[in-house]
Amino acid sequence: MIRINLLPAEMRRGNRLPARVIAAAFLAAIVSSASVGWFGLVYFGDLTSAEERLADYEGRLSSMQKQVVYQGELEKNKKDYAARVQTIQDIAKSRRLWSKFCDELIDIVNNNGDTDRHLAWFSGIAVKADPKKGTTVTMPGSVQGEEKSRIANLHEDLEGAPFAAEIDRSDPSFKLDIDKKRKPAESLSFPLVLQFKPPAQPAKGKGKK
Amino acid sequence: MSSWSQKKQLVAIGAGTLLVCLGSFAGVFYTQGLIDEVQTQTESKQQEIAAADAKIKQIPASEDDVIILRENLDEYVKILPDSRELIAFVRMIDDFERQTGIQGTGLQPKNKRPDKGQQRFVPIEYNYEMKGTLWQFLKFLNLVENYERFVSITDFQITSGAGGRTEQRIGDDAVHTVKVTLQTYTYNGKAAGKEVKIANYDKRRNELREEIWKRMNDLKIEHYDYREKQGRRDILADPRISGDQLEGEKGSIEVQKQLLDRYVGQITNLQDMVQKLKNPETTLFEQYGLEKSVREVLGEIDTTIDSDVKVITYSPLKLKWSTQVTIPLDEIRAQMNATASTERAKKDPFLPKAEIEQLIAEMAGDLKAGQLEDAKGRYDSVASRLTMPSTDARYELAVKAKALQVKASTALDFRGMDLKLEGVVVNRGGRSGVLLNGEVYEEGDYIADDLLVKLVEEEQVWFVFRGLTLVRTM
Repeated sequence: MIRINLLPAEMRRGNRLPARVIAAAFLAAIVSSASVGWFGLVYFGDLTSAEERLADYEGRLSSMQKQVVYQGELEKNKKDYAARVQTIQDIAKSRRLWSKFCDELIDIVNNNGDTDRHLAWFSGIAVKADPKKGTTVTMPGSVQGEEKSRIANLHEDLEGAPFAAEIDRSDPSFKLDIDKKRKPAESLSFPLVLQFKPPAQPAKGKGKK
Repeated sequence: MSSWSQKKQLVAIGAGTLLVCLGSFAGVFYTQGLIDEVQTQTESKQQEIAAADAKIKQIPASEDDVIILRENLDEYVKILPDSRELIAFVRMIDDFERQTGIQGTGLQPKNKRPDKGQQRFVPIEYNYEMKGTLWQFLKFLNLVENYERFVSITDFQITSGAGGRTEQRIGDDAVHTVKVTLQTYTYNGKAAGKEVKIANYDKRRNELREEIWKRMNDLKIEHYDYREKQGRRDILADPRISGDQLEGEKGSIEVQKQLLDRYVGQITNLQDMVQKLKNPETTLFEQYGLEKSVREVLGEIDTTIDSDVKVITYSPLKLKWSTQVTIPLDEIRAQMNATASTERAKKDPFLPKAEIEQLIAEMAGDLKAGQLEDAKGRYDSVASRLTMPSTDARYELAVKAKALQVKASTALDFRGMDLKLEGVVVNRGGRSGVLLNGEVYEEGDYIADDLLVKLVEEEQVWFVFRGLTLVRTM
């Protein structure tokens, strides 16, 4: 006898999905959905919110940028002005008052009229400035008479001068000169060199500031 | 698939699920990396924001510093000449020549000016040659050093002109040859960088005025007041007596020394007498005798000193003469004059009648001439000697003088008031008006408690200020 199954193909017992397969497919669907959902949460949730936060900070920063640039320019101006002010102060400080020096030197040499201690004169004064070495004052001089102690006295008095702290003085030496047209004819000539200590150097690139 | 066995189907489902899960894991892992990257960027931005915030907070302080420095710089550079003022610099030398009497023989610029476009402070040097005495040169030096613009003398050379065959003299002093290097700097403001524009600059500057002034004082340019010759010897001239002088008429050094010693002795005696005179234990009779003696000796000295001072030609003795004769003598005279005026004051502390009358006449003259400060100054200088009691015969005169002083003070206060006359409307039939400091006042209106508009005319307005009628012209 021929048995004919008239049920549609999917309803036929032999072709129906077994319950295990359906259960497995169901479980697979849940697991897959969960994992895709997790990805979705991370991608569209965490990442997006992190990007939004970043965009927010970038916005704030760009809004501050104008003021930051302004502050930078202010600082640049401040440094520039401070350097220029410093240069002018350095220029002003670098000056030596030669009228004061000469006044003090004349007082020392005149010695309040006491000619017994020393009576000196100079044939000239040459002042030469050197920014590295300091200023040099060269004064070839003479003291009246033959007494060597007078040269020592003059050098001693120079050591007590108000400008003494700023100078290195040449050591005493002498040569006897005779001028019969003068009274007394004898005098001791000596070279005198006063070396001023170099001034504190103004800030570099004076001209460029 | 329907033909697949059950086992095959289960494997396929498992594999598919695993694939999807792995894909999702990979996606999450990748996304987590992106999130970390974004977070790192966020943290970096946070730090940048914090740094920017800190900078922004510094803006007010930086603005203050910039304003102070900018104002200071503007003031500081005033000590340096600009290019135009270099012509004035040459004029300065001419002025100083005239003031000191030195003879300028040459002025040459020492160095070329570098490219101004690059440098802000350009040094400028001049070599200046001159002839003059040591004292003239020192005065010149001092004038240069005290000049309003910064000028420095870097080098100089004095060659003694004393004792040579071609010796020139001005008075007693030999003329020397001097070479000087004068240095200054010009300030090239154009080379400065871009200036930041600060909002409300003028207002901020006014607020910072005190600090600006304080910092301004940091720039100290040292000055010195040269002491002049004061009997001192020229250290560039040989002080020994020359052959010509030895044969001269004025006498030897010994004679000069004796003369000096005689004067020094007389002055020592005078000083002793003045000391005794000041001693409170000296009796009135002794004081009278001492004062008489001092004046007699001073009189004797006065008759001889002018001729004797010419005898002192030996230069080292000249300083002694100055320090041991001239200066002490001046001091003794000053002390005697002070004693005399103290005595006068002791007798009558108030101004004599004739002097008060003269004061009133002079003050009236000053007021008429509009010299209000002079009138006030005259009164103030003797105010303490016009406080006599009302019983004194000079009291009325003192009151008159006081009234003039009040007038002068009132007029000075009125002059100092900020009254801007901007226009007048003269109404012949009624009250005229004046537009003053932007407001209209009519005759009889009070501008302030002590200031009233009295009369308005076409050319002038009459005010009453503290009871005194004063006029302001248009």
